[in-house]
Amino acid sequence: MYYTDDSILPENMAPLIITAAPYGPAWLPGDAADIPLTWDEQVQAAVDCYEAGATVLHFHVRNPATGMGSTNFDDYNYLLRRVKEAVPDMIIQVGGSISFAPHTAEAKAAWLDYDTRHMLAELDPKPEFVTVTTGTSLWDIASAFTAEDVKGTHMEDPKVQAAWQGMVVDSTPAFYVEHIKRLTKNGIQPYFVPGHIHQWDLIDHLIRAGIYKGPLNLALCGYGGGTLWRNPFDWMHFLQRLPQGAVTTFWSSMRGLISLSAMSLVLGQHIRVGNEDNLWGADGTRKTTVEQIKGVVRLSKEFGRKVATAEEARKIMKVGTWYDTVEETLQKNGMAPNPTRFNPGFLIWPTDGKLKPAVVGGDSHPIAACMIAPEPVRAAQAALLAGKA
Amino acid sequence: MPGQRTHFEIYGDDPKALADFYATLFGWELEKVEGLEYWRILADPGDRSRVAGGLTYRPRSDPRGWLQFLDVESLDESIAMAERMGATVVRPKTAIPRTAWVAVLADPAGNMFAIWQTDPTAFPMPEPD
Repeated sequence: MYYTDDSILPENMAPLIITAAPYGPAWLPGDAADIPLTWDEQVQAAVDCYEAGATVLHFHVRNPATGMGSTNFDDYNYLLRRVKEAVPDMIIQVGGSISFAPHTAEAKAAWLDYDTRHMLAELDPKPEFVTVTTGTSLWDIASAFTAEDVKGTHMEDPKVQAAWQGMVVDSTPAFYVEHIKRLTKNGIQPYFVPGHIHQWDLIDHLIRAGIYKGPLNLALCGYGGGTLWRNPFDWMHFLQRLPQGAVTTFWSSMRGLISLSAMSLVLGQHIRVGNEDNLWGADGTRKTTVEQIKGVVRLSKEFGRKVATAEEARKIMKVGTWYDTVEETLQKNGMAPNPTRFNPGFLIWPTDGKLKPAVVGGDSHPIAACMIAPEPVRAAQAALLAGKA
Repeated sequence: MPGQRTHFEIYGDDPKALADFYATLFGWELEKVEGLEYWRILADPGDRSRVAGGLTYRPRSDPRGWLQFLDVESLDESIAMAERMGATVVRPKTAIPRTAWVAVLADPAGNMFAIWQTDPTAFPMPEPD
């Protein structure tokens, strides 16, 4: 990511895209006042978030009959259809950690290993995005929580905290390469969720290898555990590593999210809020998802940055756009081109490993001394030096 | 009231066909719950607030008969007492969200029945997702 002098002026930033995460899969209804359970409540949550200013909906499904996060493919399709009918312009981003349970003997025989996760590519109606992890990592959200963060929730129970401490997100190439291929085939864009820089490196390689050819939408995920924590220098460094064309949202937890969201706002990046990540306001009182969205809208207004409409968000995130080639993908996302025979990249310029004498050139900058001129130029330089001598 | 029947459930591999069967046989109204494979049995269509029972897919612990649900004051205490007297737990304590806690037991002779403790705060413990 590259910043010019005036990049941090709000009028030079893209409108702010607010993602809402209102389904709180980690919580019990008693933990927060706004955990939706019935189908109608789950649909209404999306409507309320949209009306408050959110244009992207991070989507999970709770089975109203069991109260548990649903692993039923039909439940997902049902709620997707109802939400799309209720808020047709909202961008739906399905949380990709789900493994669907096969419910029939036929499905049990057909769905092997990662197939239960790959079924996300078959959702109907299709969501705009499915989140994709690249690289297995510890995703222990409780590690970053304080006693105050979980006060009044079931997560005060040390046994529950212990359960979270063992949460590992599995994502080896055997999963994500195939998953991206299947999503691409069905026209669903991946929403990447790297938890640290080296998971971004994997995404970079996927693009350079031609596995993914499309716009780069991603979240920097800082939940503690094996993901980014809350050191702002780590976030800045991560951001610096990203290409200019990336559309980036900061994801974190509890009140740490509030500070990081403010940072994201002024850096021209995007924000996600909601009870899935945070239950609190800056003043330490409880805040619902809708109140958190309204808070972000207020903050953005104070700062002078426009909040994106759904149409603007779709344009910024290039919803429905795909590229034909690796080169086009790299160019459109503001990434350096792949090395070629004629342009092998700065890391592999040919060298014999020996210190070279200074060369004469028109540029007195010291960097010129490090560069080895092409053969015709070297010959001309040699002639020039011989003439002087 | 403890010991009183609260409702019953009927199970089958093709619940929709079974719902039609009972609707025809008894004149019941069976109402499918939106988004779920579960039919509410309204034995008295004149009073839609009274749900006599439900009909759904066959559970793994199949009683091969209608399963009767009986009211108890404390599900935990009832399970413990039943086990002391030789009953076995067929389906452990489960929450019906915002409604009740429920468990399925088998008496010492192997007859299955369900116990039901009304609790509007009932909710299952979420698992790390």
